[in-house]
This record gives sequence, C-alpha cells and structure tokens, in this order.
Amino acid sequence: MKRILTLLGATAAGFTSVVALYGSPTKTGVLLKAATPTTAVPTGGSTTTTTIATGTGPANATAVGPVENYSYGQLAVKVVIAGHRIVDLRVQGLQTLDAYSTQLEQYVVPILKTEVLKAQGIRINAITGATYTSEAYAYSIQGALDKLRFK
Amino acid sequence: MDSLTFYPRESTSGPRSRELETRTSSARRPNAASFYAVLVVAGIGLGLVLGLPLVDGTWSEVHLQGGLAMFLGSTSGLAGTYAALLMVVMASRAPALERTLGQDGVLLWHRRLAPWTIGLIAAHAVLLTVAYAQSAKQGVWAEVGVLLRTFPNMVTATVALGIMVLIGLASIRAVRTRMPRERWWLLHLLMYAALILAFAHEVVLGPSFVRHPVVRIAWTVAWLLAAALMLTYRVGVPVYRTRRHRLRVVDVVAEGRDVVSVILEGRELDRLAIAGGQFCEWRFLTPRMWWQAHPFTVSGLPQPPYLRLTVKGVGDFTRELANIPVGTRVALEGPYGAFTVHAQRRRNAVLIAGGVGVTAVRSLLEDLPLKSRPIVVLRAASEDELFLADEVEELVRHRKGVTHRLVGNRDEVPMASIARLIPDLAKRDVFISGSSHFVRAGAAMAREAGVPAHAVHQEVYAL
Repeated sequence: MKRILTLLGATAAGFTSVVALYGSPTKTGVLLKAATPTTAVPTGGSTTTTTIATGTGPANATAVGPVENYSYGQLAVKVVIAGHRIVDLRVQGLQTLDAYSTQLEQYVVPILKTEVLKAQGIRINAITGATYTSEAYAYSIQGALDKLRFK
Repeated sequence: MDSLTFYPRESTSGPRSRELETRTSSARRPNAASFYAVLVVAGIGLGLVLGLPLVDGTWSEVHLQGGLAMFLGSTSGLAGTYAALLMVVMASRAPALERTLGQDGVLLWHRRLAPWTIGLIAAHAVLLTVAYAQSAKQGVWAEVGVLLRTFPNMVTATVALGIMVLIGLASIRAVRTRMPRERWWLLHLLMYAALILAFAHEVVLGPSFVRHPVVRIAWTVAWLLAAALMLTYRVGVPVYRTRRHRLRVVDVVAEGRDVVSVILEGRELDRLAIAGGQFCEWRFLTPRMWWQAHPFTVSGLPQPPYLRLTVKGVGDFTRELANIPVGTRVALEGPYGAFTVHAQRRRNAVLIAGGVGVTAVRSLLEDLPLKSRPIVVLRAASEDELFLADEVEELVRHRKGVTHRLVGNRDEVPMASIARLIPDLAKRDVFISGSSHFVRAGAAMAREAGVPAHAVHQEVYAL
C-alpha cells in the first residue's frame, strides 16, 4: 500500500510538473479573428474559425495570403472569391523541409481545401495529426480575406 | 577442514591456507530507502510521459474528427514505450538495481511490465491508424497503406511492432514451456532490434517530440542511458572480468545423481567480489556451447586459484556439462543475486534448501559469522539427491549451529514438519532456496510461523 502510494505520488508529481512547465499549450488551434466582429469565438481549442461575412467584401476578387511559416515548411494560399463565396483555394509558394512533409502536404491540403469550401468560412476543423499545416493554411486564408476587406 | 576444500583431484599446487572468517564482498545490504528511490524515479518518469499528450496539442484536438483516438493512441504509445525503457533498465542488471529489487524482484517486475508494454504499444498502433483514418475520412485498411507509404520510418516501426507481438505470443506460458530455452532466449534478444527500429518514428512523428526539442533530447538521452547501462553491465563488465580471471575448467566431479561440480581455475579470484549465495551466468567457450549463458550457483566462496560451481543436470546442456573437456575456457557474467548475508535483518538465521538449492546455502553459510548458530534444513527426495551435505554440516558445526537432513517425498516430509524443528523460527531470518514450488511452500510456512516478509529471503532455481 505504501509502495503504491509512493508510486502514485511520484507519478502525480511528474505529471503536474510537465503540465505546469508547458502548461498553457502552445497555440494549438487556430483561432482566426473574424472579418466581422459578430463571429462568436469558438469554444474548442483548435477549431479553426473563419468567417466571411457575405456582403462586406467584394463579390468577386482574388487575393494571396501571407507566406506562413510552420515547423515543417512554409506555404501561402491564394483565395478566389466569386459571388461572395470562396470558390477556389490554391497553395502557392509551398516549401517543405523534407520529402515527408511534401507527402504530408499532398495528403492534407486537399482535405483542408474541401473543408474550407464546404464550411464557407464558418468553421473548419484542423486536421488531427497535421495541426501545424492546418494552422498555416488557415492563417494564410485569413490574411487573404483581411486584405480583401480592410485594405 | 579437508571436506571444505574443492581443489581438483590432480592438483599439483598445494592448497593455500584459508580462513573461514566472513569475507567482505561488494554485495552491500539493500535498504528500504533505495527501493523507494527507485519507485519515485520510475513514478516521476511515468507522470512526465503521461503529461506530454496534455501539453503537446494532442489533448486540445480531442474533440476533432479522430482526435480522441489520436490522444489515446499517443498516450498509450508513450506509456508503453516508457514501460519498455524501464524493462531495458531492469534487464541491464545494474548491480545497484539488483541489490535493491533482488534478482527475483527484477525478474518479477520484468514479467509484470511485459504484457503492459506490448499491449499498450499494440493499442497505440491500432488507435493511431483509426485516428488517421477518421481524420482523412477513409477506411482503416486503406489508411494502413497511406501510413506506411506517406509517413517516414513507419515501415521499420511496423516491423518492430511485429517482432514485439511475436515475442509477446512466445512468452505466453503455454507456448514458452514448449520452446527450448535457448531458442526463446534468441527470440527475446530481437526485442532490442525492435526497440531500435521503433525509435526513429517516435521522435520524427510523435507530436510530443516534433517542435519540442527539450522533450526530444530528454527522451533520446534516457534511451541512450538505458543502452549504456545495458552495454556496460551485460557486455563491458562481463568481458572485462572474463579477461581478468581467465577461468578454465580443471576438473568435473560427480556429487550425486545428476549433479556435477565444475572446478575452475583462474587468476586474481580474490578480486572477484562474490558473496555466498550468489550465482553467475556462465558460458563454456566450446564451439557448441559458447553462445548460451546459464545461471549456476557458486557453491563455495572462491579458494584462489579455484572456484567451484555445482549443477544439477536437467536440460540437455547441463547433462552435456558432465563431459566438458578439462581446459575449456569459461566466460562469466555476474555475480548476481541478493540471496546473501547482506539481506539478513536479524541476529540468527535458518537456511532451508530443497534439492539443488543446497548450493546457495553452502556458500551463504561461509559468510555467516562464527557462533551465529544457524539452523540448516537440507531437504531431498532421496538419500542420493542429498549432496554437499557433509560440507554444509562442517560449516554449521564451526558456527555452533544445527543441521537437519530430511529425506522423503512431499507427503512423508511436509513443509509444516520443518517449522516444528525450529522452535525460535519466528525470531530468525529465513533463507529458502530450491525449486519454485519448494520456495513458495517454504515462504508460506515461514509467514504462517510469524516471520515478517522482510526477513524471508528466497532463491528460486528454474528447473
């Protein structure tokens, strides 16, 4: 019994120390600021929320978002808007550190694109296991949308 | 005194005078504090590992598609691999650890942890495949192909998983007992290959390690330390000691039915820090036998330049040993074992030996002080299975103790009858050596007689 308590106590100490040390998780999810202030802040940590308030921006436009660096490489997304809707997304300036990341891009980017087109900026989910890429993708889109509306 | 020397029959070098006093050995007394220190270190490590998925982003994605499976899979992978790390550390048989947990303790923990290690790692593989399949919205089987093709180091990791599962299946008692010990041991060695193969995918893909250089370095260092312990104590030290002592067989003496003593001659045996009751892993360097190591008890403290081990012939190997040529070189690993006078907690001791267990009792007796009044019980199924008994009696007589010889099968001489022989049993340390069945029964008898657990010491001979 004493042994079990010792082990449990030590485990709790180790657990607490790692959680305390790295406590607030590094920005795991993407919380994109909405283009219009009416967007509710999502409750989930890593749900990417983009909002395109139809009508506030141009009906038809194209913009390239900023180049986003993430741990495996960098990318920028070109956003095509037609009739107040996002109709196309293209990854530009993709650079990856290694062959693995390139493969991961090929696997992840089409999924992200489908998500954004379907969600039309209401809510897109980051891809589990490809958080950093999802983040970079979403940030770049946000950047592009910001350009269209506020500049 | 003559019955206590084990010089080879045709020795030309006369026996050097030898004291029967207790000699010093490096096998120091284990203490409770060090046991708790081991528990605390192991516990903190487990806590750190379990905390990682909470802070590396895996937890915050738990509500996403595949997020829960991803979180559980990450956690089980980390926990399982951490258990594997502990198992490697234990398998290194670092002397400090052996003293703290005891040879039996290390083996026991190794066996207790093994199913968790393999189970958690297998769960990790299944859960993460499901997680990625859910995340990519495709079938689990299709995802297996994607994972193997797309992700780096996944092919080696899958091979490693296969090896681990295979070893896990082979370790199931029903399978293991049907396999020759040597083959099982070789299969077991593959685990190290599996752990090395799996390492790359951990640090390249694990969300706890990618982008967390501190964690990655700590993990790598922990594994390097475990590997260093392993290489030092399982390879380096044995090679060093083997070269230093240059042991070779000088005589093989029949002691009784199926029992032989092998007498070895070597250099600098006074520098071999062995305590009575300990054993070594021995390799007889013949073309047929060199690759297998066998645990045989040193049945008497070294009498430089000689050392004696006594073996009961049960397997093919031990029968073959009776015909080993004189001059054969011998490699040793050890000494191991906590069945020594250093484990003693009380003033007086009773030593109970079943069959071949007498070998450990014989050498342990030498470490007991004079006038320590030991009680020794030698138990055997028949008279010709009672060996080394004369030596034991003489050592006991020197220490003003009593020897009981009990011959007969289990029904004729039940364990309870031993308790009746020793009126002050509850006040003594109890050392029991023999087959696992014998030791279990003896320990139960001692506990019933009121001997506390910390004063019961066991040495199990796997037959």
